[in-house]
Amino acid sequence: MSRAVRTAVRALAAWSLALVGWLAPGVANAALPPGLEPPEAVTRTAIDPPAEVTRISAPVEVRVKIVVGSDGSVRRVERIDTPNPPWDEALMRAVARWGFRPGRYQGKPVAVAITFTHRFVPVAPPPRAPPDGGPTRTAELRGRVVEKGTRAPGAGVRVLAQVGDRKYRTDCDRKGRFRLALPPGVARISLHGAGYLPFLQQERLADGEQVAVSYAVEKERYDPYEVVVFGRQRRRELSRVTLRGAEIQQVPGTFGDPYRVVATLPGVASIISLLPLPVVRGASPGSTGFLIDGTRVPLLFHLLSGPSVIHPAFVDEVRFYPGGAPVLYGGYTAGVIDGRTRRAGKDERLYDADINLLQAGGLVRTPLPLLDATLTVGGRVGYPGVILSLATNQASLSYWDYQLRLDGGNARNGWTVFAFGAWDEVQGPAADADPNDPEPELEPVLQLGFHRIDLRAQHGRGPWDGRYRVVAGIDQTLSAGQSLSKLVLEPTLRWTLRPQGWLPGEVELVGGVEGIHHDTDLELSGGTSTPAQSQGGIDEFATGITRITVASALSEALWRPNPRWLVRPGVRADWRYDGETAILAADPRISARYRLGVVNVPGLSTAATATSADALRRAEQDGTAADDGRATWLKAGVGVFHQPPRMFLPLPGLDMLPLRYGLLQSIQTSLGVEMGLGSGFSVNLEGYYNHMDPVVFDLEVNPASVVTQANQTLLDPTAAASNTTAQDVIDRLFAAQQGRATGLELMVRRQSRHGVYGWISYTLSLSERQKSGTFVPYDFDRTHLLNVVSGLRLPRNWDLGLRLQYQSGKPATTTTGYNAARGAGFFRLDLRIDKRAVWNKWLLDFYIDITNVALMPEEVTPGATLRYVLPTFGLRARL
Amino acid sequence: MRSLRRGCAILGGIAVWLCVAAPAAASAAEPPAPVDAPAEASASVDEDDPPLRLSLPTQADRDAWRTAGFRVESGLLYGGVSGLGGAPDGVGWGFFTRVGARLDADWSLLLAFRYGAVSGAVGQDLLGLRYAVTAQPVLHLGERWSVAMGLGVAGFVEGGSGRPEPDGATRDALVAPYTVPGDSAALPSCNGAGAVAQLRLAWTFVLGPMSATALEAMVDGQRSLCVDDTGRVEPDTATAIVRRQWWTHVGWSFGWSFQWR
Repeated sequence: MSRAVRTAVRALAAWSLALVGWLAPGVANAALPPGLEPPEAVTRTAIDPPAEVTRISAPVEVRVKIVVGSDGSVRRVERIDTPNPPWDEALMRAVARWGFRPGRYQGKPVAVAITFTHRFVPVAPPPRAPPDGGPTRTAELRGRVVEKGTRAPGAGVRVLAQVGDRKYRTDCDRKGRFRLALPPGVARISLHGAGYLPFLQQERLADGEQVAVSYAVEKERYDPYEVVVFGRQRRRELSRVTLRGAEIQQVPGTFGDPYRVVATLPGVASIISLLPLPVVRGASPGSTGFLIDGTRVPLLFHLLSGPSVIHPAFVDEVRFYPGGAPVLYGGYTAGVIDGRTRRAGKDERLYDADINLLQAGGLVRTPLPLLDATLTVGGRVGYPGVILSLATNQASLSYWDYQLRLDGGNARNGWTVFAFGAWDEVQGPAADADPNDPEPELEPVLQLGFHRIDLRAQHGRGPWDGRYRVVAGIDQTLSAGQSLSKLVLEPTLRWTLRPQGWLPGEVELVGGVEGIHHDTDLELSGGTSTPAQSQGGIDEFATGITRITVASALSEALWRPNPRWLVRPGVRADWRYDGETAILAADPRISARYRLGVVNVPGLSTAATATSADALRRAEQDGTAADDGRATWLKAGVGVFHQPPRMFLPLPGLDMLPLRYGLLQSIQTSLGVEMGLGSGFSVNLEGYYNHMDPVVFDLEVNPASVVTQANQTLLDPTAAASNTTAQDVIDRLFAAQQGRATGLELMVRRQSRHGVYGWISYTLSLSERQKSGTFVPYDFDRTHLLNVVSGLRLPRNWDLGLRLQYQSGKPATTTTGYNAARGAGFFRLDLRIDKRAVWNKWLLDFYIDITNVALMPEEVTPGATLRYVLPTFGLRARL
Repeated sequence: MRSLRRGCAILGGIAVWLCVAAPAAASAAEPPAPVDAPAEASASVDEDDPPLRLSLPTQADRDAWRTAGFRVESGLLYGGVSGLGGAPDGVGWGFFTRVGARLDADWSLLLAFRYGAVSGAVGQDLLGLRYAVTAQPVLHLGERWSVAMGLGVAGFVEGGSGRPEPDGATRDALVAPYTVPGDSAALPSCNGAGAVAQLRLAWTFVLGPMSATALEAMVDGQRSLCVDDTGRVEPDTATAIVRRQWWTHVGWSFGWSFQWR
């Protein structure tokens, strides 16, 4: 019993912290707050079951929220689910007596809330003890119990032995060891513990004999994502969705790639369903930032449509801002997708290897005692060319990537080195190859690569925290004899101050300066480019790019005058210079949240919990603003966003384009309501309006007009292909225009470590661009976007996932006018099955992921339909 | 009768989701009662490091397979389809995956995904992919035999098959979507789906508490709306100009699968 408690407390406290309002304000910004040490139980944590435990036939599971105060005492225990006496009462009674070493944030004791689950296992009523003491126990059974697969000690596991008709028992200590005196004879051994499968063995003990054994007991479930956050962090942003654990690694149709999951969230449409280029709130893909720990990734997806360039095990969570991003994020006029890595624990070890049809990878995490640091190294090699070779010998594809992270010190006073990079290569027939050769010699026709090293240090003292960072790197793109390389230097200095007594309530001030310097070198084969090369070549966009320098300053305040209000004003100023043009832009932004109260939904909320007024009063009294996930918040925000012109496709070296085309600007407004319903359910409803003026480098592909003409071979008129060429598309990229987008986003989500989890997201949107004085739908505007993502955790380590997607059709140009009609919508159903096999010392995951299981057709362009199914199989081993 | 009623209930639409979620609690065995509680202090046994031992079987393999819970199957098949009324034929290999739940000793409910290649005489038969997604209630007849009936969606994905153009519906002559009569020659290319009904008989051999293997035979009937895309659109509406034709097929297949619980 105590083993389960300790394990759960440790795991849940470390990762599943409901960091409500008790922590220092700076903590809540991170999903895994840096500098947080979870509370640790220091008293006996056994839970005495009620007498009814002998009358149940199935386990009874009870969840409570434990609030551990800054002094280590249990301040409050609350039911999370509906009342279930006497089980919840027994658990709450026991938990109230526990003592903890308090959790610490940045060295200071803080109050922490923990979601704790306990399972009462059926126990047969004890038979009456015989009056005599039984036979003399001259033999001894001693040994240890470990978890099969992980070899973690089976602390608290009960060992029962039956010799003849008599039974004996003992419990394992925290190291999983036990010692049990038994009479000689054949002993039938069974092991029992919460969360473990039944275990049976048989031992023969002679008189006076000591028998040593090692038992491996199997858990009911080995959840690779026990780090899922169930509690609600203190909300700070206007619009942010944070996904973690299975939510980013086991969503069907994403190949386990965390960044691809964003396509299932509200406000995100796609150009083509397989291409991971999101159209966020009706903006061109180039307006959305793909970041890793706040740093722009120049090439997020291998070969532009494959897996992301960061090993999934590095990505702890994905934060998605569909709009209204705080001033900490600059340079994007639409959404921000920020993958967050985490600091490795001091003694953390992990060996991880995976392989599937397209790639193989590995990851190692190990402490480095000499440096007092922890090293994590990962990488992957992709071989899609092997699959491609089954279809053609005219092309080949390959890629690789690497990541290295070194963490020293602690979260508040520590340092991190993070290096990562990737390389993609597309091969085609050599220039001198015979066009009729069925197996021509291949040579690289496109190479994309980048390398980054990210050095970080953080120092905190008293109310001050400083974060200092410099990112350096090189990008390279080689295409059609042209070479584009870029050196990157991006320093950042940021300070946070939490003053006391300046204003009523809590205040956090953030200030910082940032810099970006890109030095680009463009080389053309033969010295100059021909017109043929120019059309569609790198230099078409890159001419004029030599050096781009950006100097930025930002300031932001988070003010909670009372538990109901959060006001977050901020401003950033960016000065950009590319050697010819200098532009200064200021981005003021403000958002506010107002807490209405607690919603109690029958069947979901905890009836025993205080009413909304009580909860709020209590929160206000203890100054904690307790957000237990069942509050209702109103939220609103408005802000100005600027960005340099960017390519719609992220290519290394081809990030910011010449400033002579002007800055893109959007004014984003939104208004919404957020409700926590209990039992892990939450609802978010948000409306937005974005005004975009100007828009440059907007991806547009639809023909400006369609004409009909007589077909020479037929009497009837037929549709004629438009005369739109690649050059027309390029010309339109340079033209500045106005745009606007409005919409309504709904997300119903359940976060749970048990049973079903997932979300339903729906977006009603209209994105338009001004053409000839009137607004017409944007080429990739989709009126309705629906995603149903659901995962089900099953016994014996099975996981089942389903995803249903619907996107209504894109606009199409007709004789009536530009984008006057709509194409066909697109349904897709994806399936994923995960199975974790448990071996004695390691774990092996199998998965099958089938994208578009029903081969539903997708209209890529009017008249051109794509029908596909993508099955993927994979293995992953963990030691 | 009881089984029949349950079967009807299943066919009435019991959700797989809820079905597989329900049996999750049946996990912990009833522990023996503690008679003595010596509660001796654990002492170090680090000096000994005996090899790890796993549990003896706690349940007969066959019993384990009869209990309710999640099931997965995956396997290979070989089969063919015969077109009726002029629809083309084809044979080929494929694979399938089924997920679902064993509901009780008598019934299972599975969601089946089947994909396979079909080919035949060039310029005459099918040349492409055949797929089906069906819901399959399964009735277990004793320990080894089972019969399943599947209903769902099935279709074809073809590129250029080389089949000749049907009379009067030449691809380039069309200015609007056109449905080719079913008794005409088959369209040269088909990308379409329709309804399918399947009947499957399987013989299962239990390999262990977690895995089993099965041999199976299946027959099916399929009615699909075949679509041949011309790649052009109506200029006034941007509606794709396609040719359609209804196809009817009967099919057969033999399969070998592995099952896990």
